Amino acid sequence: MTDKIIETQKLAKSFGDQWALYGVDLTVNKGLTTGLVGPNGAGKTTLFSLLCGFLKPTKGTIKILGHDPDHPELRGRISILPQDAILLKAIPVGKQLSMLAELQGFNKKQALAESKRVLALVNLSSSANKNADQLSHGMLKRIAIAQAFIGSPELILLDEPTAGLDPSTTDGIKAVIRSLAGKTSIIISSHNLEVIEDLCQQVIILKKGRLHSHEKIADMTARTMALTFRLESDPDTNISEIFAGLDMVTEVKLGKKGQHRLVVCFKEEAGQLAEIEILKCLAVAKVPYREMIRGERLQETVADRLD
Amino acid sequence: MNSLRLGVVSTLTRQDLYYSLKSARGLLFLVFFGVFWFWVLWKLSSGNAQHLASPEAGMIMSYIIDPKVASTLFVNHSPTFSAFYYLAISTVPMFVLFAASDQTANDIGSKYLRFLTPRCNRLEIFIGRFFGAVILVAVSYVIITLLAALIAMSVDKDSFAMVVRDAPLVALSLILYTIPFVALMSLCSVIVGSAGLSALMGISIYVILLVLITVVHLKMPDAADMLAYALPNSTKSLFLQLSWGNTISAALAVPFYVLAYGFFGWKIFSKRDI
Repeated sequence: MTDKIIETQKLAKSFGDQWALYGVDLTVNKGLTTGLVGPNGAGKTTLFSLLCGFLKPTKGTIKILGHDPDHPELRGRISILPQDAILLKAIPVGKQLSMLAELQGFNKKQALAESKRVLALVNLSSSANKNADQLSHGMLKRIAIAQAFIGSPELILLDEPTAGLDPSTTDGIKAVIRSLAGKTSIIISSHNLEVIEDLCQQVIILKKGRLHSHEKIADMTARTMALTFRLESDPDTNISEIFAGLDMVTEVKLGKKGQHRLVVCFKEEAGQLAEIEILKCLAVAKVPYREMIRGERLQETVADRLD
Repeated sequence: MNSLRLGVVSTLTRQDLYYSLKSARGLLFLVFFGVFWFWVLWKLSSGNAQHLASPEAGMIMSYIIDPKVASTLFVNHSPTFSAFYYLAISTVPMFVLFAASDQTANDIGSKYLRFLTPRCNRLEIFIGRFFGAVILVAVSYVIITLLAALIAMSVDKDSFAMVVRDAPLVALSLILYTIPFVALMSLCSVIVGSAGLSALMGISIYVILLVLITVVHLKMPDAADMLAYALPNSTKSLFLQLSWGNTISAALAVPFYVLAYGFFGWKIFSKRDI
C-alpha cells in the first residue's frame, strides 16, 4: 500500500498556446492536510481541476491513490468541493445531496440519512426542503461543502472552502475540516492564507504555472523561533540595532513598505526569555506595536517568496 | 478508464427523469407537447380524418406523401389513427430535438457535472442521460398514442379491432423513430454549454443537411440518397408503411444511428474539459 495519495509527473496543461501549468512534479502523502496557494494566474485552479479530473492534462501524468483521476476505483474514495459549480435549481438541496449519496453507493434510506448528517455538519438541516434558488450564496456554498463530506472519502479536495462565508460560518467549516484531519487527506486551495495556516500541515506554492515550493508550514514560518510584530508604521531600516545587545537574536526581518511588519528570529534554546527581552528592547526604543504573534505568518512568508 | 456500472447508469437515468419532471426545460417540453397534441387530438375527435380514406383525398395526399403510403395508411388502417401517426412521425424532429437537447449541455455550462464525476464516470453520465431522454420521449409518445387510439376507436366506425392491432405497432414505431434523434442530440449537447444552444445546434444541423441534400439531389441524385443517410429521419418511409416487417427493417438501422452519433458524442465528451 502506497503512502502517496497524489503523485504528478511533468504535469502540464495548456489553453491554446498559453501554458497554465508546466512541468509540475508533485507528491502528497496520506493523512495530511495540504494547502495549495499562489497568486492569480499561478495555475492553482488548473492544478486543482486536473487533480479532480475536470480537465485533461496536455502532458504528464497524475496518480490519485495510485490510479488515474477517472479510474473507477476512485469512485466514492475522493470527494470534491468545486469552486464554481452550481447546484440544480429545481430540486430541494436535501434531495440533491441524497441523489449524490445514492450515486456513491448508498441505498435510498441510507442516502437520505447521509444527506441529513452532512446538512447538520454545515448547520443547514432546516434548509433541506428548500430549492437552490431560495438559498443565499453562503448557504449554497455550505451545501456544496456538505456534498464533499458525504460518505467516508479518503481524499477531500476543497477549492476555496471559505470564500464568501461570514466569519462565524468560516469557523464552523474550519472546525469540521479540523475534525477530519488525520482521518482523511485534505487538499485546500485558497487565497485565504490564514485558513491554510490554521488548517494545513504543509503547503504547495505555485508561481506562473510552475511548482515554486512544497514544504511544511512549520518550516516556512519558524513558529517557535520568531516573534512577528505589526507596528504602527513601517520600521526604520536600522531597527535591528535595538537588538544589538541580545546574543539570542539571530535575524531581524522587515516587511515590505506598507506592511508595518517586523520579524525577530531568535535561538531556540533562548525560549520565553528571548520573547521578554525582545519586548523590552522595543519598549526601551519606544517602538509601539498593534499586534504580536509567535512565529512568522504564512501570509507574509508566502508573499516574500513570491516576490 | 471508463467502466460501466449498470446500477449507477440506472440511478442516473432515474434522477434525470425526476429532474426532467421538476425542471423548467422538462416542463416546458411537456407543456408544449401536451398543448400541441391536445389541439390535434381535439381536431381529430371531430371525425374529419375519415375523409382521408376517400379516393379524392388519396389523390390530394399523394402530392404530399408517397401514394402507396397514403393508400396503405388511410385506406387499410383507421384514417383517424393514421392521421395521428403521420402527424406524429412528421413532428418528431420538432419535439425530440427540443426534448433531448439538454442531456449534458446545461450541466456542462453550470459545471454541475463536477459534483457527479467523483461519484460516477463520464461514460455512465453520458449513457444515463441518453437513456433518460429516450425514456422521457418514449413515455410521452406512448401516452399520446394511447389517447389517439381511444379517439380513433370512438370516431372511426368498425375500427376497434384495427386500432387495437395497430396501436402497439404505432407506439413502437414512434419510439424507434425518435431514438436516432435523441442520439443526434446527445452529440449536440456535449459540444455546447446550454440546452438552448444545443437545441439550436441540432435544428441547424438538421435543416442544413436537409437543404444540402435537396441541392445535391438536383445534380447528383445518387449522392443525395447516400447523404440522406446522415439524417436521423432516413427510416421515415419504412416506418410510415405501418407493417411489422418494415418496422423491423427500420429498427435494424436504429442501432447504427445510435452508435454513430453516440460514438462522436462520446469522443468529444470523454476528452472535453468540464
